Amino acid sequence: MMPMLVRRLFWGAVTIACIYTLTFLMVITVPGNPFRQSERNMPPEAERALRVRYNMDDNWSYFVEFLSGAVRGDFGPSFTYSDWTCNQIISEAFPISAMIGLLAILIAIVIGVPTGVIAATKRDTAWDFGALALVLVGISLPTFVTGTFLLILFAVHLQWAPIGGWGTLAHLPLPALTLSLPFTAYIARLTRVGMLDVMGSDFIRTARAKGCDERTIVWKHAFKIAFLPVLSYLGPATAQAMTGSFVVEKVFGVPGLGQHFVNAALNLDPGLIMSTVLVFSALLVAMNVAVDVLYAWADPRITAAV
Amino acid sequence: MLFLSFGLLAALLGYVRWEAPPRADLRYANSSGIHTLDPARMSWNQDLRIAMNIWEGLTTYDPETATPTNGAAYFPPRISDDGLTYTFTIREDARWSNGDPVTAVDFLRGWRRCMEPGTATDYTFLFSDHISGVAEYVRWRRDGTALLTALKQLREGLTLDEQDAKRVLLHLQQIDHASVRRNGHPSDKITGAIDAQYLLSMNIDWASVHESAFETHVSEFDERFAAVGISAPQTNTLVVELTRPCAYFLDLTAFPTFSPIHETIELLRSGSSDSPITEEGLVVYDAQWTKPDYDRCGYPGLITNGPYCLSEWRFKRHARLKVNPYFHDADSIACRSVEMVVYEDLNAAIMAYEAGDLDFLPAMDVPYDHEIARLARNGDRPDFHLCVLLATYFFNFNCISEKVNGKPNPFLDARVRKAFALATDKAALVEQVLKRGDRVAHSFVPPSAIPGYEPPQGLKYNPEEARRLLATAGYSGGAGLPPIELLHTPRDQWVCQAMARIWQSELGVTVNLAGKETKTFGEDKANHRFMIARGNWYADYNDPTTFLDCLSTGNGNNDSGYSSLAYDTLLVQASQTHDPSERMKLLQEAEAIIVQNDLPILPILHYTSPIAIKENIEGLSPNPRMLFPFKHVRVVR
Amino acid sequence: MNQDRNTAETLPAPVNSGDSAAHVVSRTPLLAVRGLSVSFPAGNDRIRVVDDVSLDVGRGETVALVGESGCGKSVTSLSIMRLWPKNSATIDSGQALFHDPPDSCQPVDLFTASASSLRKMRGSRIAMIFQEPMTSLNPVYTVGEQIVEAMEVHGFARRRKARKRAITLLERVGIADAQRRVDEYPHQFSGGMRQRVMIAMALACEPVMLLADEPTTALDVTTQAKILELLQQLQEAFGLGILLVTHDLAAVAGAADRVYVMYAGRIVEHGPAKKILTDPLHPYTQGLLACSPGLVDMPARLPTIPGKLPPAAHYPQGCRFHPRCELAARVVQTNKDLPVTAPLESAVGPVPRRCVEGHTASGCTAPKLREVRPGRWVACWEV
Repeated sequence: MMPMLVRRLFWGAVTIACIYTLTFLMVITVPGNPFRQSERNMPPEAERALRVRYNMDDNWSYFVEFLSGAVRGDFGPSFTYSDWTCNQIISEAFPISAMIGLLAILIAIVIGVPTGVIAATKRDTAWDFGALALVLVGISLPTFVTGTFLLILFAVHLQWAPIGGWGTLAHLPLPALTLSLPFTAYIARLTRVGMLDVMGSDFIRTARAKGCDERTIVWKHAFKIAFLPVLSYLGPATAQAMTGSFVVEKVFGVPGLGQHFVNAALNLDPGLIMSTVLVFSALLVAMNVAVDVLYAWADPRITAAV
Repeated sequence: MLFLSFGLLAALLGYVRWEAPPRADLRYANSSGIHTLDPARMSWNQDLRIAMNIWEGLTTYDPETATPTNGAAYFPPRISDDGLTYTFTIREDARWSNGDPVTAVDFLRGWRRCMEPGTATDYTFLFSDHISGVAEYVRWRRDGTALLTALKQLREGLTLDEQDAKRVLLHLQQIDHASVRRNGHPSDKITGAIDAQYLLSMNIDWASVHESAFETHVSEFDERFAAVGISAPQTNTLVVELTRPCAYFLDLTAFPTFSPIHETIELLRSGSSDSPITEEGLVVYDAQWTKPDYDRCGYPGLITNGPYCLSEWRFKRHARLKVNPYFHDADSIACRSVEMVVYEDLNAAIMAYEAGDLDFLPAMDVPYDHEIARLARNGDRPDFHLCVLLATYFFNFNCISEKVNGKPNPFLDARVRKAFALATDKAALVEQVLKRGDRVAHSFVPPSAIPGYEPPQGLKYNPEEARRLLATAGYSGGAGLPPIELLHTPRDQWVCQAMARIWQSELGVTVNLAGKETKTFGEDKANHRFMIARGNWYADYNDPTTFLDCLSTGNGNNDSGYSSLAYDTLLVQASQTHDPSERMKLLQEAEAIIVQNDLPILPILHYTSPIAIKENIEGLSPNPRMLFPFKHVRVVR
Repeated sequence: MNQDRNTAETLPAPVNSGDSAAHVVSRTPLLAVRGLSVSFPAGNDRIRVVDDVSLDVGRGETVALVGESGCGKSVTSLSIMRLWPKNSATIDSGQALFHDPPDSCQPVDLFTASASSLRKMRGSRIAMIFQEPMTSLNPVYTVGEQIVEAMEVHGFARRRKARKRAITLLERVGIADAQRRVDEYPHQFSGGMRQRVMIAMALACEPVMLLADEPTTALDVTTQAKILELLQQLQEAFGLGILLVTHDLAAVAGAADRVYVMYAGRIVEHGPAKKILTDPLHPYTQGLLACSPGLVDMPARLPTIPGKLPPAAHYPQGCRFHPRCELAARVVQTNKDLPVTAPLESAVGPVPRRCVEGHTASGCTAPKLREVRPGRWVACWEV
């Protein structure tokens, strides 16, 4: 296991380095002046002073400077919000997105997996069709539609939750639920397919011949294997959920990380663009490594191969 | 894996508060959060709004009349007969939020920061245009900084650009450096590109050159500033010398850029403690000084002198203000706490307002704002108001480039510009396209807004005349005109589409819309890469020159590139005139040139902005400068 | 759990299964299948792949069910334990009377037993091993866990005791170093070893009957022999009744006591193994033996049975073997007065009419199993 872990981490670091370089190239080639923050024209000496201060005179030195800072964990200042450093911005926003994301994934697993299993075991019955319909809705409806709908229903009419914003526990369920819907749908689908696939296997027949009851067969024998593709999917899905969805955050007014991805790009704020991208890449790599490790632990065939 | 997630979730839940903190007396929403609270660097309205509440300048604005009234100094200050010297006496009871008395030196410190290149202020011109000696000081600092930066880069073996290289050579000449004498390279004979290799090959000890230049600059630092026309002869007295009489100077001193700064900021100055500047010659402070809870180097957090102080600021979430206990009028302030909440999506903000979570919405910039405007106008919603702003939306014509994107620029000819202006049905745009209740603009400066000034009447819609003029210019029926490119941002697309159609039908021209995102748009506009570009201007102070200066030759915000000797002369004359009514007449003449004859810009409308104030809130009212001082607010529950 | 082999019993009466029941053995069988018919859905119709099959398996004897691929023998064995998923094969008619304990007067009909009582019997009274040892074990559990599960499901033993027993079983089936290997995963075993594990698992609860569905087909020859040997040993030790489904006559030669030959969903011959192998009566059996190398002297050219087994949807009318039967062709040749027909796709030319008679009101005139000699049953018109 250890050599595999080391290898994965190494390649993960290489991936992050490539992503950093690509992003940097995009940032410096995109037209626009990162120092122009309002529509007024900035006096040239002011712009020059900022360039010197942020070490942006020379692209190569900025590249190295930012990278060495990033490795030490210091992402430098934000250009748009000059009173804040990228570290502060990310450390304010990330826990919020992470919380919503984790809760969304948990909801997705808790609802999606049983739905998929039921759909598979009660194939071609009303349960199956119902589950598939739910899946279709979850995947097709965009989050701003479902989010706004849930907001109007639960916050405005029923008044069970506050209308967006952040700060207390009551602000957590609605955005998490909205975010979880597409993941739930996808997990249900994956589980269903995996279960259908496994239930036709020979060893299921062996288990039946041994006298195991249906429940044991479904959950002990079939599910453990059918869950493996879901596990693979959960890696990138968790990373994606944890770094915030721009749409969900916009609808519910949650100060998460998703908006910073988009706003940083729109504002052409190099420090923030690169730091958010690095955070997301690191998270994605970490999640993928974690999932690989879990997968190897869950499936003994992989451990042997590795 | 489930356990892991649960664990993480539980850990993160520690971040969440289980109960909401007590509701502030006044709660309002902001859509993009605070960009910066550094008074020298702010230019966004929401930042200025907060700054005006936590800092108090020498004067403040009366929200009803938008005229200056007393602030940290007694009002009115003593003004000399020639109008050039203002003597401010700071109140005895003016206090910072930590109890320290406010002194003249605090103002000196704050104003000086705005002249420093390292602060990167947008509004340095407010100082350099009006106060004597500032322009020279700014130039000296700017040149010095550029030189020191260039020398430092040479010391590290980095490349310089041509301008910096010339600067360095000039400096070497001035100090009569041996190698310059030897090689004999006077800077005015330099042609072509010079790179660092050349300079580095001159075998000079750049470190020592840099050090001596540094020493020289530092030694002159204080005496140069002493030549600026601001002084503090006593602790409580601030004397300001102007270059010319300025009718609106007291308006300027209420602007947040002119705020005082507490001395604790010096704890956060970058660079060594024994010299005032860094190696590059800059005076910079740690950008975190505006935080209420920053404590590096013993910094006590942001200290301000206004009616409120900043008690909490969470990025993109909210900012809380509480009453400054040491403020001279603290006891009479009814609204004890204010919370500004960030709502990225204004729809959600409006929903929250409707639900009672918010008391006040200073912006309602949603796609259905014409609906809100309608409700405000016909009285169905007494809590909706329309603020008529001191701001103008217009189109810039490119008055400077021969060619734009390879095509000849027809707008160099004033007749063409006038023709386009005459062919614009502004009423239709305002009433049918935008439907927001904005006012049609026939002049650059909004009418009936600035006391003592009425703008001249500009051109009215006259398509016949337009076609005739166009024919006179040689483009009869639109023939011969290249396709006109209209530069705009996505937000303006309806208006621009309508404009394009109007011009196409009235003049027979082809108009192509070039919609670009904001950053690219700004770049193109500033560099004259357009034929027609959308523009807007919000007044910085209560005087026509805030608008009219934009079109003077070489002004940093003159996007059209317009240059007219007659116009510039009138503006200069006005600036020299003492008599206020004389002055206003001269300014009117100047404006007449641009709105009646030359038309470098095509004014379309003066903005109105809908706001919402709950009926139980007293003390806030719509006003053209969008001033909302919270110290006058009273919440009736 | 001692079984007394020589208890005298009465014969069970044949029930609603046509004449095929007439050939029951004298001893009370452990398992008596009567008139089993199984069909599969195909579009809107159903195809019958097993037609009126009856067989007995006695205690302590190995009964082989032989036939070529596709003749329906696996379907038969899987049907006995009703291991089909919901929308696949259905048992159209028949009984599977399971006598356990042996002296009970009330045999259980496996086909009509409730799901829960069937489940109780699976694994504990009747066990099954399958054709593909590579895929028949769950890859994510250790072999020990799977064997222990077999015991725990029926409450036969718990945890530690079950684990100890699992190790014993593994040793019994010939897996060396069982103490360590009990915690290994299936992929760490070879094919032959996995089959041994399957056998161990099947025997965990000491069943009385073992259904072995082509247990050696997927293994190499040496391993095949070893597995069959193991089965024989275990049968002697535990007194199991084994139904061995196979297409390999060599296996039959070594292991079986009695043989049923199956063709196209029907039993065509049945009798003691030695007799059938040395003196086959049915033309198909003769053909099979002629084709098997090693049981006869190696000819210069390996003979085959002409034609091929038709798909179940297109089984011929009458005797299902007639299109390929040389005996039928010979009969026609020697007896010129016999009415003949030339059936479609005949491999051997015209055949006697009776071999190919279609449906009449009383049923298909396929030949029935007749006891042509004591203990020898054949279904053929010409024998």
